[in-house]
Amino acid sequence: MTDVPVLKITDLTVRVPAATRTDSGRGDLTLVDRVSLTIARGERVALVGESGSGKSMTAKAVLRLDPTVELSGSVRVAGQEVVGAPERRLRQLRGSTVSMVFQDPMTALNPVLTIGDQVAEPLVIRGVGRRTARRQAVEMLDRLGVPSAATRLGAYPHEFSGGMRQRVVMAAALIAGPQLLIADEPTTALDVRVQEQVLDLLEEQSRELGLAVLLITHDLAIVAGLAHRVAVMRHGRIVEDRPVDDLFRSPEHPYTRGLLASIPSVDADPDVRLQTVEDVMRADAAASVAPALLSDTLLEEARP
Amino acid sequence: MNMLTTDGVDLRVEDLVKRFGRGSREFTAVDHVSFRLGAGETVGLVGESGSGKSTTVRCLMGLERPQAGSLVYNGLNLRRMTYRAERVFRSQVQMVFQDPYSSLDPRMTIGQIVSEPLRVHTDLDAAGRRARTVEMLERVGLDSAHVKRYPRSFSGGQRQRIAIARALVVRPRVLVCDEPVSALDVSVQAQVLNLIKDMQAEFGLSVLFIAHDLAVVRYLCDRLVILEKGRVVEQGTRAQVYEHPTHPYTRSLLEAVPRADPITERQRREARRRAAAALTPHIDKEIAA
Repeated sequence: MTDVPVLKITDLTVRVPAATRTDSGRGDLTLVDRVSLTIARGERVALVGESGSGKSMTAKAVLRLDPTVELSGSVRVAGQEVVGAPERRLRQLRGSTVSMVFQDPMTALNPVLTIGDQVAEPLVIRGVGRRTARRQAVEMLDRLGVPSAATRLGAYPHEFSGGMRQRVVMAAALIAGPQLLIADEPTTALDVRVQEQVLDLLEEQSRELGLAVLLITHDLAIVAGLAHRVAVMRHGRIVEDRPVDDLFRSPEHPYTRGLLASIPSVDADPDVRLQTVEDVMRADAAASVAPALLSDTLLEEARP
Repeated sequence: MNMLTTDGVDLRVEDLVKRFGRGSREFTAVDHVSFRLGAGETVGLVGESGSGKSTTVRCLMGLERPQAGSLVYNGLNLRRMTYRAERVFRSQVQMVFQDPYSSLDPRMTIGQIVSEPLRVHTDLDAAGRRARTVEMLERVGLDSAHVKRYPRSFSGGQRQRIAIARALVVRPRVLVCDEPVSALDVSVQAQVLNLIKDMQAEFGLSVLFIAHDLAVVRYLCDRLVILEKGRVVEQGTRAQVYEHPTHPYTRSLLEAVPRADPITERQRREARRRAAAALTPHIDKEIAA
């Protein structure tokens, strides 16, 4: 049983049917195109891509959060098929086996409910007594570094800073003991110092709880120290999926090289022009054409 | 004295104070902030949310009324301007905002958006405005055939190009950018940063660049002003601030920027973990054991 991956996505395709499209285009729109991705227990995988690459749609498909799209292929969460499963089964998976954390902690939290109620809610829904649920909420908030958690259960989200709100969201996501946490741009709305704390926390919890993490982001720099593996997504497809050290040392796909080259660095020479993804891909296309031409010419010359 | 006759840029912010609320709820957002922006310079105003960087810029642009301090542009007191002086100031100092999804009017075509400042600040006729608009759109890397399209058909990076075209179409001397790339994907950031750098060189612009990302600021700025809780904690040239930061706040900001290298990042995280463990009182460990 232990060798069943936490998540096994095989040939997943996500389509918006023509009838439900809200843009001006016609026909079905394919957002995710035959994507396969496997995450083992305790493994941290980053899914990296630009806006529109399909990374968030892939993540949402794991819990079938978007009812307007059509899924095909297979998504297995701890061995259970999600595609085509009844809604009742999905409700059992959401929060218990797989939890999700989103970009903006303010919209994820309900402004009129207390922190304590929101963190304890996943347990209360599962029939845990109110008192036990609150005690566990305090423990979880403590774990995630929310100071004097016991006295702040009655506070409301607006009384917390952005970083503290994201900790509260994480506490609610982790309280029911999921095996997989999907974090969709969890630090994009935060300041750099808070971002660092949240990422440290994510890594620590993953290590201590044996929690698998799927981190969705457009920023390769933040995955460097966190992920075991990185999958790069473009136009709905995964173009490269490799261990993090390999990917940063020798990115194979020109798109990956472009993403890496476009990151500004605090140590870089500011007079060296930043490469854009287009620069790198254009240079790569030119370079891959040149040798081909060259070898053709050589062949021509070699002929008698 | 008369800014209409000088062709340079000398923008001075001195002892600027802006408070919000009153009585026990009073909050000082900007607390005696001073800095200068000279001709052709790019100055970075850097800090986290709540540091007062945006409020400082809002005071400068006349969007907030400060309680104290002076704001002077080429000898002109910005806190007390005649109508005529204000018009000149507004044509010479242009702004690009953070969110290109809310800073462009969705009901205007990009041609209308980019040419609007020309209607306000120049006496060009329709044909002249059209020519300048097309020229500017092409200069920022957009297809001028798209003048009749609306903002919704453009991506975030393209919208920020449109916003930059709108700001530069009246040939200002100063460009104020409030976090112009923080809403964009990293891959698109590079394009917009390069564009700002190119425009700066081409038009000899002075740029006031507000940002929280020190990697981005390093790429663009000659000088930095670091703000913490409304106060300037450090300012200096790029070399001074990055090679020898003097204030612990600056150091902590620099330290927190993620490095795009897995081995470095793992070592840095391990070092943080050890530092945190060293800070935890030993008594906790004894109880735990």
